[in-house]
Amino acid sequence: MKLSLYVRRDSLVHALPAGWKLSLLLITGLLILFTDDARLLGAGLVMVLIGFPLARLPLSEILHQARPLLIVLAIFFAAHATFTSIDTGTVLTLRFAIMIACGLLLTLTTRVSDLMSVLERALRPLAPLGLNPEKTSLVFAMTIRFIPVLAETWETVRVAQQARGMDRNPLALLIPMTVLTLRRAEQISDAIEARGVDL
Amino acid sequence: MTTRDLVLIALFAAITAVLGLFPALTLPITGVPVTAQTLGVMLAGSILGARRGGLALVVFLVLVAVGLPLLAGGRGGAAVFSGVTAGFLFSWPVAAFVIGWLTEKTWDRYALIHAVSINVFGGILIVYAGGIAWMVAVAGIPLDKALYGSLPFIPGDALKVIAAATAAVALKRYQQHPLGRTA
Repeated sequence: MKLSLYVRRDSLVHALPAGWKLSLLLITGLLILFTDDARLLGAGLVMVLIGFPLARLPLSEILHQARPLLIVLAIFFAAHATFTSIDTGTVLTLRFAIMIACGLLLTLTTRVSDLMSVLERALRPLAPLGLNPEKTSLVFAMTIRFIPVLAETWETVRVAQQARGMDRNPLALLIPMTVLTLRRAEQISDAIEARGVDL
Repeated sequence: MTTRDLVLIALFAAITAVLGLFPALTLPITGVPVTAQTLGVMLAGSILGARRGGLALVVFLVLVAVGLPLLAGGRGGAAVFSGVTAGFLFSWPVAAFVIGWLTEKTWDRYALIHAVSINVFGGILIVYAGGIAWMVAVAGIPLDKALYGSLPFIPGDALKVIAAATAAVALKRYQQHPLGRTA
């Protein structure tokens, strides 16, 4: 199970600091709201798309991530072309396409850990408002760690219920799964506190 | 927020992710693919309550945004938040919070009928209101088209409501429900 969309390559786009890429994405998101000119937006899209060959990303990975979004976008354009006007549809579709392309480029060329640390830095000013950066980081780290653990628990429960001939009943899986998860929460928080982690 | 609260938030964010790993069920007649993911929204709210449930979904969405492929079908990254259907994602934490808030409010008499209606309200109505509002306001899709496009997914969501409600009520009955603990 691959738990990240990041594709390792040696490229300019990969080398850009995560904070810059994230800022660029946000700035782009704002800029495209200021223009209704399809030619300008088209040029913008081409500029973003140049990032993909620059980043030397495998086409298969790009397509796998982009396909569902592109299908929705195509339906979206068709709906607009039919019910409003081709021009409006083009502008709106281009805007979405730019944002989707930016998002994909950021995700495929940036490590999750780098983005997480940018996020932590960005959240630091919020500490006076009661957002504890250490707690926040711990929750994110725990979640990432728990995903494979819970996937395994789910499998254990499924096999146990299969032995009882109950594996076709979703509730026979869901209830033990939630009970086990809640019990595990007790064990984990006891373990954290026993080690004197001060949260 | 105690350590236990933080652990519960992380666990339910992770459960939402694991539910996205399940292959989509295709409903008979309509042929609409239904994923288990929004069950995570309903479970987080129904089991953790308002604050923890809402935060579990915020954590989940942040992890998706920074590039973990945790959405059903192995999708993720910043791109999914700018699509036509992004409104559904943004409404998840709100839905979990509302489900949790109502669950806390009705806790003393909380039974299957409450659990089902609360999850229909939060897990279906709020999620669709957010998703459809985004389609109309951001993507400029006419309201009636947005409504018809969303309707086929309702039966699948109804199944998830029953599952989440039954699980929450069962936990209360077995005295395993976190909201029933006299802290």
